[in-house]
Amino acid sequence: MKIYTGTGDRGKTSLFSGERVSKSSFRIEAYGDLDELNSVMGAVAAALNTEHKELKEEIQSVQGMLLNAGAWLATTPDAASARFLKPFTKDPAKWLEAAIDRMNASLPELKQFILPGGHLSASLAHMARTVCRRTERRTISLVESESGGAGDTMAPILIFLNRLSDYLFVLARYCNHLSGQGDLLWGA
Amino acid sequence: MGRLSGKADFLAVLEDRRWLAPGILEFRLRRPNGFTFIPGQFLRFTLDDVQRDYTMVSRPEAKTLDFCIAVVDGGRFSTEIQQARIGSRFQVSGPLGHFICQGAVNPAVFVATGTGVAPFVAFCRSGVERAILLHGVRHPDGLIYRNVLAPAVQSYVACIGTSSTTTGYGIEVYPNHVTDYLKSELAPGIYDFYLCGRRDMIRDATAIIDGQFGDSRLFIENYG
Repeated sequence: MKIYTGTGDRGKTSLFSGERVSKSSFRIEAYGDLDELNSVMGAVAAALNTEHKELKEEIQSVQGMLLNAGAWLATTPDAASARFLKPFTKDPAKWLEAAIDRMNASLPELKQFILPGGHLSASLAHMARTVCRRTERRTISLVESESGGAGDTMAPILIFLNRLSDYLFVLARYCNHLSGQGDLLWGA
Repeated sequence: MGRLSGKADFLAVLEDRRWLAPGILEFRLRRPNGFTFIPGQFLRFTLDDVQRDYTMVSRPEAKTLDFCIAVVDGGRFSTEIQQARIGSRFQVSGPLGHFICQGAVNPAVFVATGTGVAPFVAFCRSGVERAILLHGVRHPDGLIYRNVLAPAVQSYVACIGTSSTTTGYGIEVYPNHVTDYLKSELAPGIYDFYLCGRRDMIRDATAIIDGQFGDSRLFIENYG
């Protein structure tokens, strides 16, 4: 199958629900950022040492959740196409909370600010956290820009994104912990 | 075979086969008990290392799953389906695909080239409202399922780009391409466009829709 169609050459693209929209619209900005976030998550997993197979698999599970969230972002509320989407519930956010607690249990208590950095995997996790925060802001802009049911559809996704940035902060610390170098403390 | 729900892999039995037009074959598989689909969805056929997707043209509740296929010289799958004995089994999976009728939000414009008309046959057999159908073919023989489509839609437009006349085929034809019809004949408005066919048609039609029918919705199924 060829990848290119040429249908997006004039600055517009189709949503999953069929509407033609500008590539700079809130919806496209939001799922574009989500796509970027997913790519950085892939880089985090790739930067982990081979012995951390379980953590890589955990990150890949989160990537799957992001794909599902992206499909919802690409679909307008009440579209017939939504029947093909897997419902997005509060479960992914709860799943993240359990993962945060699990990693936190092996980390020292944080008493001062840390610098984003350290091991490559940790640095990338911090980068993913900032992209996640931007994705969350764009998704809020989308909800605020649309009247109707967008808020209902997006509510569990916003909770998920908020929790995911917490997860990524802890993941960054955990990656430094696994690498043996610990947090990069801000000495100021 | 047990009840199937959602996507499934199964062996399907060839029940029947007939020529719709020179080079276009319709074949029928026995519908497994409980197998269902949404009109516009397709099955994926696997033959050794070759996979081909074909859209059901039958109604979901019909006893058979019907497909149409353009027979290609030397084509692995089309040769196989042309020569297979009735009763042969084919490895398939599905239903797959998201190209379905989205409901009557706006008047629908179905645009097909060649056997890309298949999903619209399934739509029409299940009932459509306020639809215009443009079917682009090189020769009037290619106007397959005309007797199903024409009565089901508000306006059936046979587009024969190679024709120099509008009459003489037993029906009136538009002697130009589907994209010319969109550009010059379709009244301004907001529509739900459904495009299924060749890549160049989809690219050109999308450009026209973006330029002339900007607030419309657009659903695309690429047929290679």
